[in-house]
Amino acid sequence: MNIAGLTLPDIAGLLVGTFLTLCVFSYLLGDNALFRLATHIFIGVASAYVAVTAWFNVIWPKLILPVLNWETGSISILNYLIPLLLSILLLFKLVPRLSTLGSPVMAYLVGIGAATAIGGGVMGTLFPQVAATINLFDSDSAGGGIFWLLIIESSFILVGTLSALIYFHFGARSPHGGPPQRAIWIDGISNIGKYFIAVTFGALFAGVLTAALTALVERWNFILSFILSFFSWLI
Amino acid sequence: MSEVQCSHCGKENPPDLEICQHCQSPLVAPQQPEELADVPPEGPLSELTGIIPIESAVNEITIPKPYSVKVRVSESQRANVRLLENLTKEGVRPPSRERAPGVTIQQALRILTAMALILAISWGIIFDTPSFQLPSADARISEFSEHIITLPESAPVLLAFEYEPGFSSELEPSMTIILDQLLSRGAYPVLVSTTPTGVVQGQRAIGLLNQKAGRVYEAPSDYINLGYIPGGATGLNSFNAGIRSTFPLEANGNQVWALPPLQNVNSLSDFNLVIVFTDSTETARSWIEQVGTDLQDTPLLMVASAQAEPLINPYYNSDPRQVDGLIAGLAGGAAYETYTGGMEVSRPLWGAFNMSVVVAAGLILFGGLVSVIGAAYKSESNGPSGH
Amino acid sequence: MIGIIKRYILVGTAIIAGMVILLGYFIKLPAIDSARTILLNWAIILAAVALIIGLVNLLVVHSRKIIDKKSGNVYSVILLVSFTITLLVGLISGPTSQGSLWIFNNVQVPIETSLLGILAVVLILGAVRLLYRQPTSFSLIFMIAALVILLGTVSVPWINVSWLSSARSWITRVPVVAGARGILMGVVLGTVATGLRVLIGADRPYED
Repeated sequence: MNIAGLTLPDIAGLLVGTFLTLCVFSYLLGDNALFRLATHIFIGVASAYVAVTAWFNVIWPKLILPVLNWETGSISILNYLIPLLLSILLLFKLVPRLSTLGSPVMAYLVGIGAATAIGGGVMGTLFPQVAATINLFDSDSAGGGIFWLLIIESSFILVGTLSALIYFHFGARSPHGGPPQRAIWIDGISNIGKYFIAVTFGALFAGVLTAALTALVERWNFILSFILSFFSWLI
Repeated sequence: MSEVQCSHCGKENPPDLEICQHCQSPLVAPQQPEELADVPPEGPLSELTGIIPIESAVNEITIPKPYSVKVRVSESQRANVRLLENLTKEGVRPPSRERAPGVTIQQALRILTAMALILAISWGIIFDTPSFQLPSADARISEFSEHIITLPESAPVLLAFEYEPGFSSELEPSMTIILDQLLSRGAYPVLVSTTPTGVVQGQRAIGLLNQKAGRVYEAPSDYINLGYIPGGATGLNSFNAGIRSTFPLEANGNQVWALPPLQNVNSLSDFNLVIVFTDSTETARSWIEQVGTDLQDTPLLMVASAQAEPLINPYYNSDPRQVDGLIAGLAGGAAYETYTGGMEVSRPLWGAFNMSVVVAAGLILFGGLVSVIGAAYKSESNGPSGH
Repeated sequence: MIGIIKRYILVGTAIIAGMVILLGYFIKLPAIDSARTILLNWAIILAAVALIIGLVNLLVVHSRKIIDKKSGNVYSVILLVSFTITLLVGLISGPTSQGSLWIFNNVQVPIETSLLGILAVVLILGAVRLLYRQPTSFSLIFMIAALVILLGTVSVPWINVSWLSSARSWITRVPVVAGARGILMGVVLGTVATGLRVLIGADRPYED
């Protein structure tokens, strides 16, 4: 970092970035006013970005511009008037007494969201992942390799997949009027699945920690570089 | 009308009250139960003696008279009432919580852990030596690069910036190299995002590349930033259903589909390559489920944060593959840098990253051993006696 | 009566819209594709409007805090000021302009990256506490897997960790894929069940 070659906005940016970074790091000493200052600035800035992006990418080109250009093109009922009407109904959600008018629009969005999740989940994850589990035992698809090793590994993955899936089955019955219990065989299989899930969660934890350490490294590198460059520029 | 004096506390009350407004005792004098008069029986029971003359009771049915419900209050109870009255008059003030002086154990542990990490990172930055070698590339890295270097010139490539700004440090090293590869080969990146900050993230990525590469790539001649798709998975579904209707204009309000590289792009499968930069499994899944199923021969590559890698792996390690290439975390970016031999983007952070991971693992191991031994000692000393 | 009619309108809207989209995944017909495209285009416009509504709500909450002079209203003032400045810069010069980029690069990125950075300290202490409170076989295997994957990622010159690297590679390729596949399938089955409950009207989260 060469401070001498930087412009005024760049230097101002470095100072602001360093200050805000140190404000957030002060949380390690305990919750304090500087940390809250930084988080509230962050919420304000992030919210404004959402508003600006929604305006420029959706509201302006799809709801406002068609009206301004109405002489040059026709306004489509399907592509413009209906979404405009629905948007106005949705805005009534801001007024408690009239919020019922926005409920049909919410129902529409919920219905579409549910269908998207179902369709995508079934066609994009469930079917392909089941096929992938089956194809583990296809030596041609596996690209060759030692056959018995392939079978052992594939069986291990199959057992792991099924037992992890069964682990999340929580249906229980009350035998002879006693407390609800899972079937013994489900309990047994889910105990195996528990260990596969433990390994997966360990991998997830390692991933999150790695990501957090990368961020910490980058921020401390930034601060150290700034301080060292500043002092070398002074000297 | 004259006021009524309470027989219990002696204070005056308005005449229409039934209960004293000072001490809550009834003001109406207690009614003694009337003794039934010895009325001679009439009717069929007139010859019988000693029976209850029911007629008089039935004839005289009226509203029941108020009986005394005078509360007998002892001196100690009166003292408690006075105490409660005083408390409620002054209001309840919670006792002030004074922080314990000094630093708690939790705070001390947090500070010590942070100091250990920062010392390790500083060591790695200051004494960064070639012995902290970048990781070597494996088959995964070479496959990923192969998809990019085999692109024809002016090939439209869709780049999705789906990560939060906090993960920039992890993803930007590999992203910068990939962007450089694409632009130097003459491919035409088309930037898009389903996160609001993705629009400006994409612009930031181009700015970083311009700084590193020493040349200026500009829109719309070198790339285009389509902008933001709201609605998450629903938005991607819409994008897949009709890319031109989803983006009639690009992020800055200009016409986009008349540009030469995009004239023949009518659906997502018309892109030569789709690369998603993401920090979350949910976003990766949305792209795979909503877009990946319709890409046909167009490869879908992912550059993911280390936290998302475990749950994207099943899509990569599947047959047929749903994700055709995967780079994860700073380590993946460093390996990609080794393979491509391009600009140094991971190198400055690699030594410090290594030191921080080793110290973090050491702290967990040491702290874990102490915890396990401590927990075992605690359960032994609590053991049979149960104390 | 009005309540029942209202419920039928809401449930009918959700089911019809959802069914058109769902059919589009399984049946490829031009009519269904066209209807699907139109409905989805409306949905993304409405999603953007819903975002704006959420933001207005945020601003109203913090404005009320300032007007009512509740404790911590200074921070609400700071939030509103930073919101206003960023909004004005973005609306006047565009979301990808120099001004917007300056704010993004020097305010949002440092704060978010720092927040993620201090998470590292919290995670390390949390891992240690897990073993103190709950030293079960589950937590031990969890911790061993995490440590192998962590140490297998790095290259430290004075420690020969090549076997760690191989172990890491095997763990991420075999048991993690197995567990993750089971988790993903479980998540999808749960999502399908929840979605179907919405599409048959059993769950009505949109009702007041």
